[in-house]
Amino acid sequence: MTVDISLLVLFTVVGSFVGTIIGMLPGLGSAATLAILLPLIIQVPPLYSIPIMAAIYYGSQYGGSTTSILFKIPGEISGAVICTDGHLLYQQGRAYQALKIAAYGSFFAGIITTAVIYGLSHLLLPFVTFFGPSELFVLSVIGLGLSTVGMGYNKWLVVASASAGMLLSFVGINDVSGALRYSFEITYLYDGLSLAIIIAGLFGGAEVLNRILNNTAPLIKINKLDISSEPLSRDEKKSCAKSIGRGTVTGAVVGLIPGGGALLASVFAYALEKIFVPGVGTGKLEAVAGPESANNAAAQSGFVPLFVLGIPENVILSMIFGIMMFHGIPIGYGFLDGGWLYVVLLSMLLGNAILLILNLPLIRFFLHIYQIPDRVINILIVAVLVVGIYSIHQQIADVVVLIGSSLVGLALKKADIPILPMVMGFVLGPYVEDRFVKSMLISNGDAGVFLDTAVFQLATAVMILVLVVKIWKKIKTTWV
Amino acid sequence: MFRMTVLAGMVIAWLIVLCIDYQAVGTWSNPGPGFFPLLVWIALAVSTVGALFSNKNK
Repeated sequence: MTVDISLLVLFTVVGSFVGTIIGMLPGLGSAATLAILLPLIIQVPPLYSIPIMAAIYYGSQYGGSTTSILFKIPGEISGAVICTDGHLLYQQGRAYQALKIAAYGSFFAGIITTAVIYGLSHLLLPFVTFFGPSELFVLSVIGLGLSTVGMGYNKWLVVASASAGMLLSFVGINDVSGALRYSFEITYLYDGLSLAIIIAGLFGGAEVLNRILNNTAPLIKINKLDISSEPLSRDEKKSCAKSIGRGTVTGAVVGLIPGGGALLASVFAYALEKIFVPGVGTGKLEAVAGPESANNAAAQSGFVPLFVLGIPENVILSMIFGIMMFHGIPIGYGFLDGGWLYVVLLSMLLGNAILLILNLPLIRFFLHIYQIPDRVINILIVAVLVVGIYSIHQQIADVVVLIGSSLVGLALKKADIPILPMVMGFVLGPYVEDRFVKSMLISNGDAGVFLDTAVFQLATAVMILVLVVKIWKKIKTTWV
Repeated sequence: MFRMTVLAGMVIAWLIVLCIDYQAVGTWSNPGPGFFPLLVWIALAVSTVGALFSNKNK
């Protein structure tokens, strides 16, 4: 494998730049934006497709802190945690210090977690052989469920949405049996519904239609913004360094858990800061440093299960997984031995350094994006979507499918049915089916093979433990 | 109401698709190309009924 460093730098810079802007734009999450850009990203050479997507993902975590601190509006959901302290710091005239500590925290967490990804991937690799089709099936299903559990959706709706997404993924030629399914002899459907088009429509198209219909973008004025650059005191530096350390460890660990992700990591880190630092909630730099480090660490450590086992933990990682499968990028030994991991890690080191530059000296430049009217952003998104989709195969049918899937996505949004599980179901559908069918063939039709897996037993034990704790809490509040 | 219409619409639409373009289901020990889609459709139908009787809004 030959890596063109200049191309790697170029794609990482583009990803970091786009990620920062997305993170700063309230209302447009990183998942929706990745979905919008997927038709363009799918055309990037395979070697650079993961670096650009990863840079957008962790770049949005960097950028998300800016709106939280300056305007008390989280650009990214994980940035919500630092809204209180971050904005109080802004009101105290310490916005630049808060932005600085958020950027340094994210940078440190990013660098450390890159090393964690390298170490853990190699450490976990020997255990890959213990994961057969049945273990991977159970893990995929658990991952699919857990990735949406923190969003507070009705569990029935999550299952319904994921099932509908999976059914969509079955259209076209089936890899296991070679049968042509649900295509009604329409040539366009023989290869199945395109990953990029369906995700771009369901997620991105629906999001932009919703923005146009509701016009919900908050009005942000930057004329009162005052950014001073008074240095941090020695004590503050020391205390923030500890918070960054705590946040990094918390984020790296939480990011490994299916469903963990950046939001949960920053919530945990904030809770930790409340324990260790008095006065959190009244405008403390530590309450920005810890959660910011945690969300960036979690955004990166979530890549370990993806690279080693092919288990995406959230919708963004499932899109990256989809792109990996589309390009035939291997997972497990193939990913690590084939040099793919080193390219991604190199891009992460580069990306974190670039983001530090983008988020500190260039912060004033980025603030101008708030002066762009919302309708211009909407037009830009539509243009990117349509041009991106058309450029894949140069056929109008793709644009028609995009419009159809955008309308379906909008209907789901209006009906308050979660779209995330549908996207994950669509990406994971063929692999879940493949693992299921192989398990059935190996076990000669014994469905109990899934119950015998260590993964299932561990998950059951955790569920029983959670249930016992809940019952105990209920008894305690009722009787004591 | 709108939510249930969307969910029921998905269930019925997929039932029609599964019936029109019928794929061999096979057995547990030798699943055919229609086996897993049928299982997933059952999950969709059951969860739709579950959502109907569930009183949690979100």
